[in-house]
Amino acid sequence: MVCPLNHPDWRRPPGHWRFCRARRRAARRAPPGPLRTSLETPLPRAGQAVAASRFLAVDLETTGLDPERDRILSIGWVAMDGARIDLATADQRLVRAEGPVPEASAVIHRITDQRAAGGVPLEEALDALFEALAGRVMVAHHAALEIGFLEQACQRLYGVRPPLAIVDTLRLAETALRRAGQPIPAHGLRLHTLRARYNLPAYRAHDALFDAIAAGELFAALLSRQSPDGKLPLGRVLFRPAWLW
Amino acid sequence: MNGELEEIREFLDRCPDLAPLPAASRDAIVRQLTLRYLREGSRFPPDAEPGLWIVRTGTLEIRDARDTLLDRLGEGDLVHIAASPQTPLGPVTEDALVYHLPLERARQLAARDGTIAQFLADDAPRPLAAGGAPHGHGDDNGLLTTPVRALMTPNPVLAPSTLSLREAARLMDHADVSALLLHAPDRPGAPEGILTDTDLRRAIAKGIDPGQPVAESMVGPLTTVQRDTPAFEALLRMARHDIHHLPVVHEADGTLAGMLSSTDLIRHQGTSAVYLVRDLRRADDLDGLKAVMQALPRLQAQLVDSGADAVQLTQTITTVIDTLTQRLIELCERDQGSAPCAYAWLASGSQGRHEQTVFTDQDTALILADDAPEGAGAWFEALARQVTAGLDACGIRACPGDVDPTHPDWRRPAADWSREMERVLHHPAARDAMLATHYLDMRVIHGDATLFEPLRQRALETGARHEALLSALADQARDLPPPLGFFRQFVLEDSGEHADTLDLKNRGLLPIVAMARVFALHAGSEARSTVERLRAAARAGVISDTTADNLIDAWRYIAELRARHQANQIRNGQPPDNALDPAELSTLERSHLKTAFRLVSDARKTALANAERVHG
Repeated sequence: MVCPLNHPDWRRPPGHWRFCRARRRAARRAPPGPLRTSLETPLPRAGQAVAASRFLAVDLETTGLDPERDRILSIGWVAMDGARIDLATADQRLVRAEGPVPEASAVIHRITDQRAAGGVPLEEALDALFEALAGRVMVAHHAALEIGFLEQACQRLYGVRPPLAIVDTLRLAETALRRAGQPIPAHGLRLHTLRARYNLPAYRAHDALFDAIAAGELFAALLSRQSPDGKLPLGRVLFRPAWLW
Repeated sequence: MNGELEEIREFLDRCPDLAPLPAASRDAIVRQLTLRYLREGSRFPPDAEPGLWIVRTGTLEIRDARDTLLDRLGEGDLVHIAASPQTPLGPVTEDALVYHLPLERARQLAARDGTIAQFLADDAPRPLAAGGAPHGHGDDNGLLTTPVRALMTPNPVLAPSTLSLREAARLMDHADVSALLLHAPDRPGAPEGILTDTDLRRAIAKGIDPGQPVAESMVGPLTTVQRDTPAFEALLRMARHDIHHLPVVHEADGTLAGMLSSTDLIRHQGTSAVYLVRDLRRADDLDGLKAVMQALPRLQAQLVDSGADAVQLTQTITTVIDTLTQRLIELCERDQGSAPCAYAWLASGSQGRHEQTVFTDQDTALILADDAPEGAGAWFEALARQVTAGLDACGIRACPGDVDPTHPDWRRPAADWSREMERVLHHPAARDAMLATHYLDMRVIHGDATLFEPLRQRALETGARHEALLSALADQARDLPPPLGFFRQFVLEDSGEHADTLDLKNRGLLPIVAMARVFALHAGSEARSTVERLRAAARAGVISDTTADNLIDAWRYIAELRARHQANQIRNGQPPDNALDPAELSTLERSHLKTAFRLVSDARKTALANAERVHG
């Protein structure tokens, strides 16, 4: 089978083969459906220019930070072709709660029990996400949270932990700031702080969809600095968690 | 389920240029937008992509191939980039997040939604009326929209003019009316004169025998209005003729339909123009006139509130200032004896064009008969001094450009004026072109009109045939570009500079006035007011009907905005002026005003270019 990242060898990121094998294995074990299709769809090559690569900015709202104990409340996403965000693809799913929503997070996300009860089952939300994710690299701010919750949910529902190709805007911004020799103040890497730095508008909403759009815009802003011509190879912006590569 | 993009929709709702679209159409547009981040220093539009671009944050400039600044866009501004190869390109001047409706998607939206199709097709500016009248016009009680038939008293008392004065008085007393219409005994349907309380009083004061026929005391011929005449026009007619009763006639056959009195108008508000004019006529000295003129700002505010449009408002104010001028001259003649020879008092500028507001200054002149006796100069110099000082004391500021008859240049015998006008109209050098505009706008306010009118006729005839004058006036119009629009809270000048305030007269109205003057001259029209000049020019084929309509719309819109701006200042107890702070504007007004500038700018490009080809 063709390597999912399908790139010229010299640009191959470390751990790449391990990643490819893991995706193939996960695809074989996943039940037929959007997750499996997504794992089987070739990803943009790592040597390909970012401007020609396809992305999906994603955000999860959860009841807490622990994938073992906490639940996904909603998933929002918007597709990006290169650095261009397409609102026609903007979408989100509220996930039907299996228990009461803890008060603290409900205040933040303004998702009341009632609204959560009007959502869809988690499986349906994940299907819609993976359908949108086919052939695209995921973009998220502080991606570890998204990875953790998505892996946990897939493990529970489909019996596999999908290896995901990811861009983490927090890591990208951190690297950019360090390279520029700029000090990073407290909270300096939070999404809204970084957005202000790049003259991006402050969104009032704190829901999965707008946070996904916000992360996508920040990615576009970071790319405009790191690679004004968009020719930077995709492999240079990919997030590589140690346990994956 | 699609995610909620409310917050982006709300942003589009705040974009002034999108205001003409219904909410449903803006909803449809949100779903088709793409977002781009443009770094400072990069070119706009990225990849020269056509379509509709909306700035969310940051700033960018639109420049043409010769690097001339066309517009500067900030938050909430939008620009259509045409698919043509001559795409304007400009630098992004501050990191920007922009929304883009690509051309393909725009076409698909347009295919489904007519209003979007029209919005997008309209690269040319929309007519100003389309987005809703700026104010007040929805008021059904406005004098503007009410026809006199709604206010008049039907079946007025009509009697034969063979009645004696006593019988007429008895009839009026019996019917409890203040005016009686009279007809010739053989033509009972058609009134030939009117007898009012005032006329009765005068007759008695003169000692006329009450047994005499009323025909000798009545006033005629009658000034009438038609049933469908707007109440406002009737009001203006009363003010101009200083009368309080207007017989109303049927359009079709001229037979009597009713009577409109100033009391009928009072009941309907907004009549103070009539009373202001009457009070000016009654005032006996400068202090009296000053006291009456205190009410002028209130009159303007009231006219704005009652929904008078710009033409009616400026005509009314001009009528009041004309009356003031006439009364000052009469008082002066009373004080220093009657004039040594025939003369006429002239006004040019906005007064000449019937386009004044309370914030105005004097542009006046004197023309004397050629047979002035020795030493007449002193009398007229004294007249000039007293009247200009009087106007100034009444709030009509002395002319900063010294256009007033205290200067000998503006106080000449007819033959001298004739030579001077010929000189200026045949040799329009730079300063002379300015004089020419004054001469073309001049109007007789008081005195012997026959001294001046033949001069003006000749001036128009020679001027229309004289290419040098036409091109000098066209140059003058070309030197008055309207601003590009607005950038944030500033006015964006075509130099790229920002101004804090917009001079509604110099930057808004005068560019249109200057164009109208040259077009009307070309058309050989005698009209003075900008609207009439533009109509005459269109009738004569000098400019297209569209150009005329666009310029008239723009003039009306800016003039109404100015009237309202001043009315607000008057209500807030501030002195009125022409300097508008863009922050005062609602988003819709801002968008309309920008459209008005664009209409003017487009007309400058096409019409003035044509004028140049014909005469250049």
